[in-house]
Amino acid sequence: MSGYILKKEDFGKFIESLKEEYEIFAPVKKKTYFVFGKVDSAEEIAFEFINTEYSPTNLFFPKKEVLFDYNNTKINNKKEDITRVIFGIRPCDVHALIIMDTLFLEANFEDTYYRKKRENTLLISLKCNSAGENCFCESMGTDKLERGYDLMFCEQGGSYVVDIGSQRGQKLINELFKSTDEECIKELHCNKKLDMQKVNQLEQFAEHEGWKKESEACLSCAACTITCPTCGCFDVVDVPNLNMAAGKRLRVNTSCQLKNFSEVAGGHVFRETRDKRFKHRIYHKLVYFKKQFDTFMCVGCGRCITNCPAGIDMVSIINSLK
Amino acid sequence: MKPRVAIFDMTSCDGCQTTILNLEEYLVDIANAVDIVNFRLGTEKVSPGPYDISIVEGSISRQEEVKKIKWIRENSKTVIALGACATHGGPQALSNRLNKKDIHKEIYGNIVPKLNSLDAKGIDQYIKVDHYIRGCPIDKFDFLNILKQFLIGKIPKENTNPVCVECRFNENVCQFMELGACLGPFTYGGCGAICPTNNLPCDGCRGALDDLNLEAGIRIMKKKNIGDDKIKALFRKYVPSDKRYEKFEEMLKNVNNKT
Amino acid sequence: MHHELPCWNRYGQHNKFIKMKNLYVPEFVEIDKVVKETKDIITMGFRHPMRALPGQFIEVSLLGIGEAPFGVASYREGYIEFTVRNVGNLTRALQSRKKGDKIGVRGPFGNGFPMTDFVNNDLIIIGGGTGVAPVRSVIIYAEKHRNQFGEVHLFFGFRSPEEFLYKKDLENWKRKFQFNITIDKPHRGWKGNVGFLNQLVEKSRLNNTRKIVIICGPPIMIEVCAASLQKLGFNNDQIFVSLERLMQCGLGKCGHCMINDKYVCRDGPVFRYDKTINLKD
Repeated sequence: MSGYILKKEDFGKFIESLKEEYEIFAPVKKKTYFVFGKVDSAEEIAFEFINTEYSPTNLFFPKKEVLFDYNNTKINNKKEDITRVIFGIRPCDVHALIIMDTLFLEANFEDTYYRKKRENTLLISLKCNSAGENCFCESMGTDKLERGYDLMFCEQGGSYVVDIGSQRGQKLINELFKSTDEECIKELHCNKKLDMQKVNQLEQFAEHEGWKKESEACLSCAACTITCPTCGCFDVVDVPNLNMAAGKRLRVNTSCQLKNFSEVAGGHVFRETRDKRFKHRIYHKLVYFKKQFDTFMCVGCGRCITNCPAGIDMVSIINSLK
Repeated sequence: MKPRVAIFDMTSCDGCQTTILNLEEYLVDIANAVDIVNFRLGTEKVSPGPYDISIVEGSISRQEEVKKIKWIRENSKTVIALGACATHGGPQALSNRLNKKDIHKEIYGNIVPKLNSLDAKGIDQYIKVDHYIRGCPIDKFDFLNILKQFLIGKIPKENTNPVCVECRFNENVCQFMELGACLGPFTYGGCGAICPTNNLPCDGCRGALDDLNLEAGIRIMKKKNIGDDKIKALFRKYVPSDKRYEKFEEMLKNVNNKT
Repeated sequence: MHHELPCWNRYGQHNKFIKMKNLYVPEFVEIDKVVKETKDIITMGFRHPMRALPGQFIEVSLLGIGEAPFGVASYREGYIEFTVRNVGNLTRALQSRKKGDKIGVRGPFGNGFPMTDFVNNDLIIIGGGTGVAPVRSVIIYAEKHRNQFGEVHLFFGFRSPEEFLYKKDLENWKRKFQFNITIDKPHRGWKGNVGFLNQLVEKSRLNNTRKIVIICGPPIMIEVCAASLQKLGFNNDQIFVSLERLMQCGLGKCGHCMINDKYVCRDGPVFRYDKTINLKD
């Protein structure tokens, strides 16, 4: 398919044209790092990021989300219909959404809230110019993106080469874009490599002493799961109003790294020790999910490594398993 | 009939009670939901017990307070400890490690009044406490949330997440990684991570978690070149009456020996 | 604007999107009956067209207080019963609800016992404490499809006679099936069996020919009963158990009930015993 080209000087106008119909979310600078935020103009968008500190999955699976309001037994879960464009989402994070789709859009068990946000949001992906020190997307095969995006931008000199991924994406193409035969190929090379052979043998290491040893450094702060673009565990919490008749039911993101996560009524905790919780995360990502859905639950974005205050590096732990 | 709620204070700065008053937009609703029968800052009305819920601010630091807190327990269905002083002694418990006579002299000079003072301790050292509202000061929405749970007939579950959970929800930069001198990973959450969200490291005012990995934490702090005195000062500030403080000093020694 | 998103089944195949209802929103039903079973256990019933298989569970809500899973204790067209033991906030609040009050329900969830696979077998049904609730649905099923199964052996264990559940049913089942019941410790006026369930099972001297075993109860009870059955020559693949975890969403999303690659809420709660051996945290 022949692509399009958009001159960088026209990028501002493109964003303006999107604004008429969509809310725009894009990477913005926050202190020393980058997060996704709502933007009103192209000037607010940051381009010098490798990836954002916090993942764009938060825009689809918010950390706190109202499931419904209630008043006695009357339930209201009507939500405003907002159409959004996410600009600047990295290929690995699009892969993360594809993985979340397998879980949240699974037939017969579909998550209405997630679906609605997915349907109402267009993804304009932005190819990476270089890999960060903790990126290992190359190992996970998530550096390349064949589907899942509406438009794919690739920086080339003074322009962006734009690839169209869907009919919705096609509709965003306006007179600012010119047809081109040019292709934009970026070869990414990650210094960090996950030994996939080890990953495929992980089950043999289930009782390995390494888990206990490595988990001794873990603070159980949950930073790894909260910043992970494919972690979606939650608690369901009711918040009544003071009149007690009305209120709301929320879901709040939680983490398997917390002791209270596997606690049942009566107080028994199934994964009481830190090593069990530590192992559970890694095994869920690389073993259990693969068994359930035939895909890894990890895109190699490296956020769990970057954000770990204890410097725990899942990649080097797995690579050094013997 | 509306539940009778009494608010008492022991040794404290009244900051937590003031925080309740800051719930301006909810005060009318609260007044509709409960009958506040004792609240020095809010009403002149003082009613005798029994009370459905007694909310107690402040540490037990004097003999008279021991009697009072026992009386409160006997006359209340539910007792809630309000704020760091009531939950684990508060900043005044720093003096527990010092000689009382020296402190009295420092403060009162040569004419020391008759004081009857005790080591400052959380109220649960004297009575059974049904729930803790942590913080110095408390978070007003945390208070509201816990109050509502009691009103609807629930026994609130303690928030045993570290401060980090809500801090990460707010997409903050990790103060612990930046400075090393942040107590977020070791402290009870529920405050909305207000300090780190405003660029301040966590002070640990909500008290030390049960499921904490102190040894790993101390190791990381030492790697960030934080001295023993600073580490001790950090942990001592809000948990001096905590039995685990002794264990902490021991652990600090262990880490020092190993490195 | 409508965008076709892929809808996956768990084997990675595309499924055409079928418009579905919001699975998180409970439906409200009136409590039709409340039976006080023991001092802290009640059984509630409500009318609802949902069809629950034996071994499935429902999520029951009281708005403002919360939601919790309960095994379906009945097998009846248009009617659901569940048994509540007072262990937490929601279960305590449910104890005070009366006939005519409203509760929120979602479900049924889980796989349930594969009853049609058990046809032509004898059934050995073992339940301890509130674990008798889910097996009650199995027994009623067996009663209704009596000609599909051979002998039905029942083994019940309770702490004491005061803890007996479904007293009327027990009398009825005593007449219809091979009925065994035991209590943990000697009790004044009790002339029956005393001791743990596994001892009772061992004493039965049952052989394993054409038999299916169903066990519900605390994990430790399941373990010792399975060990006793092995002594009698039973294979683990003849035994079916129901596991308990904190099932919050019932949809395999919230993650709380996950054991290895299984969600208890969706892949279970019923598992063939040999498949649970490796399900360790």
